[in-house]
Amino acid sequence: MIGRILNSLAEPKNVPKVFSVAISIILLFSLTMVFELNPNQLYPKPAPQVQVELAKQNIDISYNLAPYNRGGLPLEPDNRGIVRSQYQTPYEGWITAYLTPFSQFLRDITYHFGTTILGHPGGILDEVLYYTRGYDTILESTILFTAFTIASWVILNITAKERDKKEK
Amino acid sequence: MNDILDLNSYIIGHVLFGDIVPYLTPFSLALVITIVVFTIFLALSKPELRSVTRFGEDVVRTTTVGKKEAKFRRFMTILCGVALIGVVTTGDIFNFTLFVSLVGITNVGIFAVVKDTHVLDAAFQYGLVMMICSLPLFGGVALILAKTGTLSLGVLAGIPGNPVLNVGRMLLLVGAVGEGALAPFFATKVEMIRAKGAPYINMMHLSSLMVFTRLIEILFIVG
Repeated sequence: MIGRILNSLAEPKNVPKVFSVAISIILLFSLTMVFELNPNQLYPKPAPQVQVELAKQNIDISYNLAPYNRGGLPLEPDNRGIVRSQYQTPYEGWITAYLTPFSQFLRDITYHFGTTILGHPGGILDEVLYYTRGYDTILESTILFTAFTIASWVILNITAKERDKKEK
Repeated sequence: MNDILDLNSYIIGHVLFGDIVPYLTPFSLALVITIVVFTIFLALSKPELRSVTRFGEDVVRTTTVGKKEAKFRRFMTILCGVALIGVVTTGDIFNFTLFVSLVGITNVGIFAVVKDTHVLDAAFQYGLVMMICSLPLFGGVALILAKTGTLSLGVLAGIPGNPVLNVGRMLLLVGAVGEGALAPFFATKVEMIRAKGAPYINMMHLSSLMVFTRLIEILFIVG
């Protein structure tokens, strides 16, 4: 019996299945824990519903970006956007409020820009990444391009060759 | 007491490289020297040519490794060595996970260009394991970040352990074990190691060893 189990584990095909079952068990156990997280990691801002209500009162046009409104003006050191990052830089919050002309147009005509796919929080992610964690961006793209290199090598030298053989 | 100093008597120096600061201790310096020497050794050596004898046949076949294939595998080996240096020196826990992912994908790259079906099958299964592992690996780090509010190992060393951190450590352990092809995955590894072209596949053993060593240190530091 034990021998049969061990033999089935030696089959590479079964390894991902067994492993994913093990991970799901671990995750299930960890979900029962009481999580008490660090409150300093949250952005200081009104709740999303409150932001939408504020947008409808036409107080400030930047509330139309709800729930991604971070305040501030682009490239103004005295009026920065609200950013919480791991490693502080002097340029924090400078470009958080930057929008492309098209995005500005959309923000002006609708209350729902922040909740569409166009209003992704790209600006803030980019700023936090490039200014405070630049090394990570390099590493992530290195991983991506390594994967591309492997895939293109396999396609050019193995898959394409097999296809040519079949055509002959 | 600072866990980093507890584990490695003193810190030789910080490498000021961008915004995230890798640090060197006597232990990690020894590991870096091992990796550099081993990578140079592998990059300079020629692929082995193996003879295959089969039962029931009176033939001995010699196998060859194509020049292009050997070149690509050498490139992946060198890249894996560079990633390993990052793994053992990094002072940031998120960078650690990224370097481990890079090690995993270069390991797959070393095997993905072999033209034997059983090796490719095993490499595919290992790739699946790696994809599954990215969830616990990055999830564990995210949990540690959410609990402590920092990713720097130097700061994490001073924070005492608690149950939520332990869950994060456990997820990190599971994830790194899968990405680095540590103990429970030797079954997939053995099939892959049957590939020809010996010097390059040794990189996989070295990477498992180094990822494991560094992982243990990080688990001690975080706890």
